[in-house]
Amino acid sequence: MSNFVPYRPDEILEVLERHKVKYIVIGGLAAELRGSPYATRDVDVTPERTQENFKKLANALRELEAKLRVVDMPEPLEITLDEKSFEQGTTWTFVTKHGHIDIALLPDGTKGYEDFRRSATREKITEKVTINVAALADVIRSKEAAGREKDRAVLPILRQVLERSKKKEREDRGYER
Amino acid sequence: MKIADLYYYEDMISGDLIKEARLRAGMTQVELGLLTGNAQSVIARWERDEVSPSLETVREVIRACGLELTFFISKFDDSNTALIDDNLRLSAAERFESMMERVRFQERREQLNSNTRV
Repeated sequence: MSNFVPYRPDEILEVLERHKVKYIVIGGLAAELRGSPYATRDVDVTPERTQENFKKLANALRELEAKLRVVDMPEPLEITLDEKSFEQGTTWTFVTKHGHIDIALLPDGTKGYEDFRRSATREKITEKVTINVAALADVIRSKEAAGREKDRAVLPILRQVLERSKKKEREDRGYER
Repeated sequence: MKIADLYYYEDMISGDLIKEARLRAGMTQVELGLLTGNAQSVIARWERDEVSPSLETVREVIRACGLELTFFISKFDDSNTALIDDNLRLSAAERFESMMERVRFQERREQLNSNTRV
């Protein structure tokens, strides 16, 4: 049996957008869209924590044929998702027909959706898909707080991307001496 | 030229560190100001990189957030700078397309490898 998992973030995000889910793309994908050279193979999002939004998210995940990924279990679990499901945990990892999506209600070092929303911007990634992307400084804050080995490994580069992008912003505004 | 521009330094990071620590501690600028004996406007100017506080001040402010600023000296490596600057010249859509090109290439290679094994 093939273990191949596709990676089509635009397809995943198009479904979330069509279901009018309120969410922000965070993590490695957000960092890549902000200029990081590190590649990722999953979509990380933080959704708004309201019953209405959880309902839309559950509908979107059903359309994506999402199955729950559980550590140490070889096969993902089929579960029935509804708005109540998300009251039972703060981090959810799914595999869908278009790839992996991780949902964090309270990413480390943050207060979740509202916290990221302040500095997130709307970015067009394809002709059909426009999404909310977290600011790189907020991605860094969360990865720094998470303190996982894989996060710590990319932090020096992410900080470098942040510095270079601020420098570029200043140059673009004509501030650079 | 605005007055703020006089204080602008290249590649300033102290403002980022202070803001990151404050947000991780869940504090407002006013609360951090009260804790450290600074006006909210001072915290705001640090965070906006309009004024550069000393390293010692940055460390104290971060400690007030219940965090520690740690240091280590390592060899300077700017090998990624050109790659990062190239990425930054692209729009988000162009970065996404470039990312997907790499994904498609990798998938084709995996497919070829798996066919060869069969």
